[in-house]
Amino acid sequence: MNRNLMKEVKEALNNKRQVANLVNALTRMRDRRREAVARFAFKDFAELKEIRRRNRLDVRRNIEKLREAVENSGGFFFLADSPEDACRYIADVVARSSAKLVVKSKSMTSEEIGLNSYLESIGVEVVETDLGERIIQLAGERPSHILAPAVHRDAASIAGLMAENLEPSPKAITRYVREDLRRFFLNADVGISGANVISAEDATVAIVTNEGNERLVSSIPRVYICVAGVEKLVPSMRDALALLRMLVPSATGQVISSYVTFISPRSEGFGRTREFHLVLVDNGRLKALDGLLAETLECIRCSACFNVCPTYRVLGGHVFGHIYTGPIGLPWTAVTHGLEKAYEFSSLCISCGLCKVECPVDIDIPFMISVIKERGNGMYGEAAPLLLRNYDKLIEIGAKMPRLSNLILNSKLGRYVIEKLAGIDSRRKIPPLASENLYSLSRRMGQRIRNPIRKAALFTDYLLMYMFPEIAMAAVKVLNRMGVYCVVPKQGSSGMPLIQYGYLKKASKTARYNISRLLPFVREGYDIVCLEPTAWYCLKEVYPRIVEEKEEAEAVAESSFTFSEYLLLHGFNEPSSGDGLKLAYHWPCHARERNVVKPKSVELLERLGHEVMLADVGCCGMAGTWGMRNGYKGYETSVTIGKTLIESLEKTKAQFFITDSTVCYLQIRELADPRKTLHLYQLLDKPF
Amino acid sequence: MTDAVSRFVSNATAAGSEVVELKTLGECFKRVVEVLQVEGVKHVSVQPSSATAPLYEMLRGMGYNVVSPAAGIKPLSVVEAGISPAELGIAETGTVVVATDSEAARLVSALPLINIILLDKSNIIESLVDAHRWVRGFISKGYAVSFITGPSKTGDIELKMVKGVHGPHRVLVFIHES
Repeated sequence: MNRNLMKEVKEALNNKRQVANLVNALTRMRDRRREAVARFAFKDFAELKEIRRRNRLDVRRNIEKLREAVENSGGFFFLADSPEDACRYIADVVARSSAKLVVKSKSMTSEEIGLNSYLESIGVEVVETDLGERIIQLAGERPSHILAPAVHRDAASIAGLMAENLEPSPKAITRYVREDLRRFFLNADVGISGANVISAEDATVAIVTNEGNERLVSSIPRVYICVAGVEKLVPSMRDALALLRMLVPSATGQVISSYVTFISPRSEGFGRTREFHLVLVDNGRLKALDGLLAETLECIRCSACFNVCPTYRVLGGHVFGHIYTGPIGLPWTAVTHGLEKAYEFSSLCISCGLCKVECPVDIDIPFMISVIKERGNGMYGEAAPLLLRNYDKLIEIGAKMPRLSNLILNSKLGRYVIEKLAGIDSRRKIPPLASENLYSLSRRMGQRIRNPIRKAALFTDYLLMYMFPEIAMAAVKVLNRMGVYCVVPKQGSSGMPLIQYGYLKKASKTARYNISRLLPFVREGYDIVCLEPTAWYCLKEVYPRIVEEKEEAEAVAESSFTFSEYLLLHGFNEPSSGDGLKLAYHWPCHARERNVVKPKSVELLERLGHEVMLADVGCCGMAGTWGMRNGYKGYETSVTIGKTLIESLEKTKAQFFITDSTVCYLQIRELADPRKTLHLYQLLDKPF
Repeated sequence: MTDAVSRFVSNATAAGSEVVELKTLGECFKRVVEVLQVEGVKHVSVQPSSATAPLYEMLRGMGYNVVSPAAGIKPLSVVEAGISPAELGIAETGTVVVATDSEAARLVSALPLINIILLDKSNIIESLVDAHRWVRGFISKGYAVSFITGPSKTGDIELKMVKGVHGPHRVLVFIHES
């Protein structure tokens, strides 16, 4: 591997100004986007998914349709297998027209194929005209974000790039760029742009911008070249507009961009026919159609996933990316630049799953990233050390002799050894193993319930099972009070760390085991109540994808509920005595659902008479074992992410910080005031 | 119908277009001249169409340097205001659809700092997706089609909105009766 990722992570985290710029900007983009897509109904998203699925399945047919339409309208069409093919074709067109100056409108595909440096190497001047791209070009950098390429820089650092003594305000810089770029627009011989969508039957490229630079790029020069990936193809103008209707709000949070420019070979230039070239780039895409990364091609490049990715939000796209950046950038990199380049930064994905929740096309980005890790493990490295991969066995053995285990966990030498062997950072507090696990504790405590109205089998994961069984018992007591009889079936861990680190075969074994343990209860009419959001996420989202026994997995998934969901569903209502509490709630990533804006747990707490504020910065940064991993492999980034959550919790002035994932609870308890941090189940169990 | 017009007005306004509802095309022309005077415009371009033909003559008569899109890029580049007839308005997004018979004429709405768009009330449709029929029709005739919704702008620096990046910083939409 060529990259020293840990060094890059360290540098990014030490650039405190950049971390603040990024978190601030991306949170604003996220909120703007959420507001904009709120007007869409479930069926709008379903239609978009269906369009993109069809586009993907029909891409080969649409390529032929487009070729015919372009050639019949007097344009030139070229399907490039590789970046070299695409660059060579474009360079030939440029050379034939004796062009000295090329103006460009934003195109990630041209970044993918390295077009600028190719053209520069044959003596052509290339000028980027999108403001963000221009900044990046002058800085000699790569775009760190597909939508806002210079999001990592502030006005002061940008003004310095442009001219001496330029006022460091967005307005002054923009005025300067307008004047400065005019001469290039007016004298360019060739204009090159990307595409947001291409209608095959009309041979028409559609480009959305707010700046209007693509209008000058495509209209003034004698030769126009569009370079785009094959995934941009849709069969018809109707599909194109349906896609744009969803793309713009998902990207910038606008209803629509200032401009949508339709460019076809049919329109005339200045008094003569303009040369129109459409270069479609394959570069691994068509091959990917038949594999587990196929869904990548449904991406509409809105960058919604960037806004919520906890590690991207603090590290930025120069670390979290190769040429393509951000969460979806991982599968894009694997498809277009190869597995190794993707694997190199894949450890930055912590499998929070927020990207999938935010994606308007419902692309299973976290699963594809797990696949990338799985394929790269063994070949280019290991995503987790051997001991960490066997964390479940370690906990099981440790829990057999909790006293001894805790002695080791509490000793400096013990922690040193654990850091060396399992890569767990010594600074991280590890919760002690309970003297009695949940199986035994629940048997011993028994249940106070006479005529149960429902029966629930609890799926808990290992933190509650072996380290915090008393928190699980608090949940049992609450369930008992509403007339639910609980059992704790013999079960394994959720397997999330295996999924997270890309050990999918092993995860599949764990999944099959858990399904086999839970299914008999489902068949006997039990509900599966998951005491950890992650446990629920595994049953619902992941197991059906990684086991062969799809029907069984679906049967268990269908009967599975989160704790709060279950309580709401069955009318739990115990109004708090007095005025209720002022609470700040942290929403665990794995409890989130698409297009749901209010957490079930908040609904529940409000029903009980509490005042609840949502501290909505996103992930807490713990991500299971990842936040425990030593140094820049996890801990440092985890704490940086966690601190933004703590700030937002503290800002609420709430009496207690509440969450219902034990992993998040650990992170908050460690970084905030532990006396103010409560697990939801503890709160519900105690009379307040 | 009126519903669509009011939705158009509110969405276009929200996007930063300055929308004025007027009665006749003649009133629109009067307003155009007012804007040109207030802004101190001397060089103007009018996208040719049957609707704008009288305006073209009118402005020439008033001593404006009226540049034809066919005149070439150098004369066009000094134009301070462009006047474009819209083919369609889209209520859902507050968008106007401009179709020009050449790429050169597209620049009338792209190069100057001010863009005034004339829109016939009866050409306002409800939904963005429904516009596909018209867009297809124009393209098949060799027209260059543009959707315009508010001024040229950017949020590329610190996500702060600045108007007038490469295109107009003012977009005015004058709606008139048929």
